[in-house]
Amino acid sequence: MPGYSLHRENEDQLLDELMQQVRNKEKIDERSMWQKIADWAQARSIYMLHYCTGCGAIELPPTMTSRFDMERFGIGPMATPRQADVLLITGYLAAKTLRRVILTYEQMQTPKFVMGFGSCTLNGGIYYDSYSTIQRLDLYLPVDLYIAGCMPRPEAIIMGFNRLKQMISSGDIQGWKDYEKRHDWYRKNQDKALKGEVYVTR
Amino acid sequence: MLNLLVLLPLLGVLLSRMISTFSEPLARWWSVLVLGVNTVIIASLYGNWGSAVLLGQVIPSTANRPAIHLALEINPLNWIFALVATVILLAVALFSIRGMSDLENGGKNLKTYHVLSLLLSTSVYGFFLSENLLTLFVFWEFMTWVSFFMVSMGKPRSRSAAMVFVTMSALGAATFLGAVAIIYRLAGTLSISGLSTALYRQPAGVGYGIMGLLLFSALVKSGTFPLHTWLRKTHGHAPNVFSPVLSGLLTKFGVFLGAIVFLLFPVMKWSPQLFSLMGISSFNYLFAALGAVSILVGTFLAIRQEDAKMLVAYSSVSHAGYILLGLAISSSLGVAGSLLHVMNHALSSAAMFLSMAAVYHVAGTTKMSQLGGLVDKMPVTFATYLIAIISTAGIPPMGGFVSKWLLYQALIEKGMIFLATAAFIGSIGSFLYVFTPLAAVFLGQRPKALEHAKEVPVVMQIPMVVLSLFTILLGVLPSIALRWINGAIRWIDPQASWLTPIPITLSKIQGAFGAWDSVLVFFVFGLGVVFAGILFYLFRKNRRVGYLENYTAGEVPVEVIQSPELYHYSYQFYKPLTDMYAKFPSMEEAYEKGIAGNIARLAAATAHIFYNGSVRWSVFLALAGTMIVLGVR
Amino acid sequence: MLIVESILITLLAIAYGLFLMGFDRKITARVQKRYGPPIWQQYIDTIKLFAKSTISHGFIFDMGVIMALGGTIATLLFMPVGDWKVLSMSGDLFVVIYLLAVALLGMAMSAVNSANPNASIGIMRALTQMLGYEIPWLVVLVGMMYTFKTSSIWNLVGGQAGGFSNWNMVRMPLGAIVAFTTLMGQLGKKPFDTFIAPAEIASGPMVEYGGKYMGMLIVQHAVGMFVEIGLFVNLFLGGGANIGIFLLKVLAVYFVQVLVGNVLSRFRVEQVVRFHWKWPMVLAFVQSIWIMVVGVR
Repeated sequence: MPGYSLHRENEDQLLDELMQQVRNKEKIDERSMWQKIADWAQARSIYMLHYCTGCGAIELPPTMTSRFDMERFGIGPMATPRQADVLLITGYLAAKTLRRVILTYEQMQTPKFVMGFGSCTLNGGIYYDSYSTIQRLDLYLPVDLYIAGCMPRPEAIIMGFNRLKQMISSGDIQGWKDYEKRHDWYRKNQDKALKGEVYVTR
Repeated sequence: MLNLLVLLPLLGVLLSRMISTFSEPLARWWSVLVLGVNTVIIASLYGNWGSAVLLGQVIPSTANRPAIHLALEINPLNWIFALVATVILLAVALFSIRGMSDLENGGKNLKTYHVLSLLLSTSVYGFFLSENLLTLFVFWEFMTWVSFFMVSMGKPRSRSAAMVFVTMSALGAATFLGAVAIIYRLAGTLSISGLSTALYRQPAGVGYGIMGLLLFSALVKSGTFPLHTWLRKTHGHAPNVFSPVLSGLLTKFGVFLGAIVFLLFPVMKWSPQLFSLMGISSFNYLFAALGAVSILVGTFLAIRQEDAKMLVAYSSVSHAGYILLGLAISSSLGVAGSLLHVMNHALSSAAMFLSMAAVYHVAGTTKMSQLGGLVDKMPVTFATYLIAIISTAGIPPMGGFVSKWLLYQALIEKGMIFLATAAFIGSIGSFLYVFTPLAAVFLGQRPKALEHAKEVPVVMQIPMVVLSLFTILLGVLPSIALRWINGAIRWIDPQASWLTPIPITLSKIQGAFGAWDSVLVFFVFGLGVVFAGILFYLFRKNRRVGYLENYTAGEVPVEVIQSPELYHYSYQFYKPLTDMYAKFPSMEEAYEKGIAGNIARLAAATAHIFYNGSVRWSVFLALAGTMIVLGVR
Repeated sequence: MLIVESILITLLAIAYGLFLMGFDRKITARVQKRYGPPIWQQYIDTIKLFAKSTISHGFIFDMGVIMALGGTIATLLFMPVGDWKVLSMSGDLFVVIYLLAVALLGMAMSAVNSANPNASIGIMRALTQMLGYEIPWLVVLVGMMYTFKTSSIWNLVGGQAGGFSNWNMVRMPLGAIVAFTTLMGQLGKKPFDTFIAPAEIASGPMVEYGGKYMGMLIVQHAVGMFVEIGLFVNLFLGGGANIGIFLLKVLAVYFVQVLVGNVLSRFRVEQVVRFHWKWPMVLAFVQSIWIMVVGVR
C-alpha cells in the first residue's frame, strides 16, 4: 500500500455541490459584460505551460507542429508560469515533483486552469501502486479537465482543449476559484502527500 | 568682487582650521557657507566682464615687456566653467556634511579634509578665472598638489595612486611651463584673451609646437587617451566625496586648457599652412582622433568594470573624448556641443559619483556584485542615478542628449564618418555601462546584509536632487545654457569669421542639417507616458509580491537560493561582450611595465653608483663632487 | 488637435502592429506547412492578457513598463506616416533614434527589477546586441544625412520623390541591405532573437511578466515594430504618398523579414555582435563613403 491514505470523506457531497452549481449556471448567466468579453478572449487564446513529467510529453510536439497544429486554435506554449493560462500535467507525479507543480500553479495568474493528461493523473495509471507517486491529481490541484488515455493521441489532446475552450467561454469553469475557496482542504491533502514540505509563496 | 572669489576660500581655510578645533561639524557648514557666497558672487558676475589684479608684478616689467601680474579676469567663456565649478563644489560640500563615512576614522582626517577642500576650491576659482597663462599655471600646480594630498587620504593603499596621479601631472606641468616660457619669450605677454593677437605673427610651426605642448598637459588632466591611465587608480582610492570633484571638475581643468588652445590661439591663421583633412587641419584632426580613441577606450573599459566608482571614472575618459572631439573640430556646432557637454557631463558625473558615495555611505562598498535591490530602500539616490545616466547615455529628454546632438551634427556636417562612428559606439556603449550599476546596485535581489539599509540623510539628498533638477532643466530648456555659450562664441570671435552663434529660440535648436524642439520632445514624451499610464491603470489592479517570489523553474526559491545575492545576476555583467576584447593590450600595463618599470630599474642602477652599501664610497663621491664644483667656480 | 491626432495615430500603430504580429504568425505557420492561427489572433491574445490578474515586483516594475510604452509612442509621433505628419516636421532622425532608447531603458529597468537572473541575462543580451546592430545602421545614416544635407526625416523622404529610381534603396543598395539586416536586429527577429530565447533563458526579459504587464509589452512591441519598419520605409522606400501605400510598404518589408527570419537559426549573442561588426559594418562604410564622395545622381 502507499505510505499515506487520501482524504475523501466529503467527496460525494462536494461533487453534488459542484453539479448543483453547474446546473444553476445553465439557468442564469450572471457574468458581467466585461467578464463575458474576457472569457471570450480567454477561450480563444490559451497559453499553456506543459509540465512534462512522464512519457506524455512525447505526444505534445506532434500536436504543436505541422501535422496537428494546435496553434490554429490559439493555443501555444509559453516559457514561464507567469505567462501561462493552463498548466498541463503530462504524466505521473512523484511526490517531489508535486511540490514543484504546486509552486508553479500558485505562481500562475488567474484565471488559470489545470489539465490532467493521461491515466497517471487520473488514477495513477501503471504507477497505481507506487510508493512515491500520487494517484489522483485533483486532490492536490483543482483539475478542470482530464484527458484520459495512456497516452492520449494528439486528436484527443485537441479535443480536450476544445472542451476546455467551451467550458471557458460558457463561464462554468471554476477550478481556480474552487482552489481559493477550499484552499484548506487542498492544503491538507498536499501536506499529507508531501509530509508537510509544501512551499507556497504567499 | 573678483578677488573675493579666491580670497574668501583662502581666508576660509584659516578660519576653518580654527573652527574645527572648536567643533568639527561646524567646519563642514563653514565650507558650505564660503562656497555658497562664492556661488552667489559668480552668478551675479554674469555680464560684468572685466579683470582684477590679485597680486602685483610676479614678473617685473622690463624695457620692452610689460609686467606679469597674478591677475583674474571674468569673461563669457570662463564664466561658464566657473559656474559649473562652483555648483559642483557647493553640491559636494553640502553632501559631505554627512557623507564622509570613508574618512571618519577618528576625525583627524576630517579636519585636514576641510582645510584641503577649501584650498582646492581656491585653486579651482583661481584657475578658471585666470587672466594670464602664468596665473593659470600657478593654480594648476596648486590644484595638483592639493589633490595629491586629498587622494592619499582615502583608502589605506591610496598613496601609490596619489603618486601615479602626481607623476602624470608633473609631466603635464613640465610641458605646460615650457609652453608658457616660450609664449612669453615670443609674444611678451601672457594674457589669455590677448593670445590671439600676440601670437598672430608667429609661424605656424612654432604655433603648433606650443599648442602641442599645452595640449599634452591638457590631455593628462582631462584624462584623455593615451594619458588616461592615472584615472583608474586615483578614482579607485580617492575619498568618495572627492571623486565627484575629481571627475566633474578637475578633469575640466584639462578641458579648459584645451578650450584656450583651440579657441583662443590664432589657429585659423595657421591652419592653411598645414594640409587639411575633412575640412579641418591635420593637427586638429589628430586631436579629434585622439578624442575618438578616448571615447572607445573609455567605453570599452567602463563596460568591463566591477566597481561602480571605477566604471564612472572610465566613463569620464569617454566623455573627455567627446569634449576634445568637439573642440578639435572647431566648428560652431562642435564648440557649442563641447561647451554644453562640459556642463552636462560635470552635472551628470558628479550626480553619479554622489549617488555612489551615498551607496557607499549605506552599504560600505561600491563593488557591484555585493550590492543589489537598493531601489526600495534608497529611492532618491536611485532617481538621482537614473536621471544622471539618462543624461550620460545621451537620451532625451535629459541634458546629455542636447550636447551629443550638437556634436553629431558637427561631425556629420564635416562628413567625418570614422569619428562619428566612434561617437556612436561611445553613445550606445554608454547605455551599456551605465546600466550595469542600475541593474546590479539598485535593482535585482537584495542581499540580507542590506535588509535594514536606509536612505541617506536629507542633507545628502538635497545636492543630489538639485544636480538632477539641473540635468533635467538642461534637457528641457538647453537654450538657457546655449545662450551663455553663444555669448562665449561671440566673445571668442566677434567678427564671426569662423565661429557663429548657434541659432536658437527658447525651445528650438537649429543644427547644420536639422532642428528640433526640446520643449516639444519633453512634452510629447510626457504625453506618451500619460497614454501608457492610462492604459496601465485602466485595467485590473496588481498584487505586490516579494523579490523572492520568482520564477525558478519550479524549484523552491528559499531552498535553492540560500541567500538572495546568489539569485542576482551582477558579476561580469557583459561577459560575452567583454570576452571578445579581454586580450586586448592595456595602455596602463604598457606604461607600468614598459616605462615605469624601466625608469625604476634605471633609478635603482643610478642609485647603486652613489650608494653601493659602503658609506666611505658615498662620502668620497660627495667630497669629490663638492671639490669639482668649487674648482669649476 | 494634437492630442486627438496623437491618440488616433497611436491607435493606428497599435492596431497595425498587432496585425503585423498576427500576420507574422500566419506566415510562419505557412512556411512550416501549418494552417496557423487566425490573423486576428494577436488581438485576442492582447485582450486576454489585459483581462488577467497580475503581480507586480515593485514600483520600478510598473514604471518601467509605462516608460517603455510612453517612449515608443513619443517616437511614433515624430515619424511621418505616409502623408500624415503629426509632429514629424519638428522631429529629427537622432531624436527618433534616441527616443527609442528611452523605451529600451524603461523595459530594461522594469525587467531587471523583477529580480530574476533570467531577465537580467536577457537584458544584457539585448543591450549587447544593440551595440552590434546600431553601429552599422548609424553609419549608413551618416552617409545619407551628409549626402542629402538634412537630418529631418521629412526632408529625407522628400529627397526620394519622383518614382522608384529615386528611392534610397536603389540609390544606396548596400546601405539598404545593411539597414534591412539591422532592422532584423532591432525587431528581434531570428537569427537575432538571443535576448528572448524561450528555451534557454525562459523568454529572457519577459520571464516575470504576465497579464497586463505582458499585454503592455506586446502593445509596446507592436508600436515599436511600426516605428522601426516605418523608419526603414521612410528612409529607403521613399515613404508613402498616403497612409495606405505606407502601410502596404510596411507590410511588404515585414513579409520579407519574416521569410528570412524563418529559415535562420539563432545566433549566440557575441556572434550577433561579431556578425554586425563584420559584414554590415564593411558594407555600411563602403556605401557611406561611396555616396559621400560621389553623391546622388
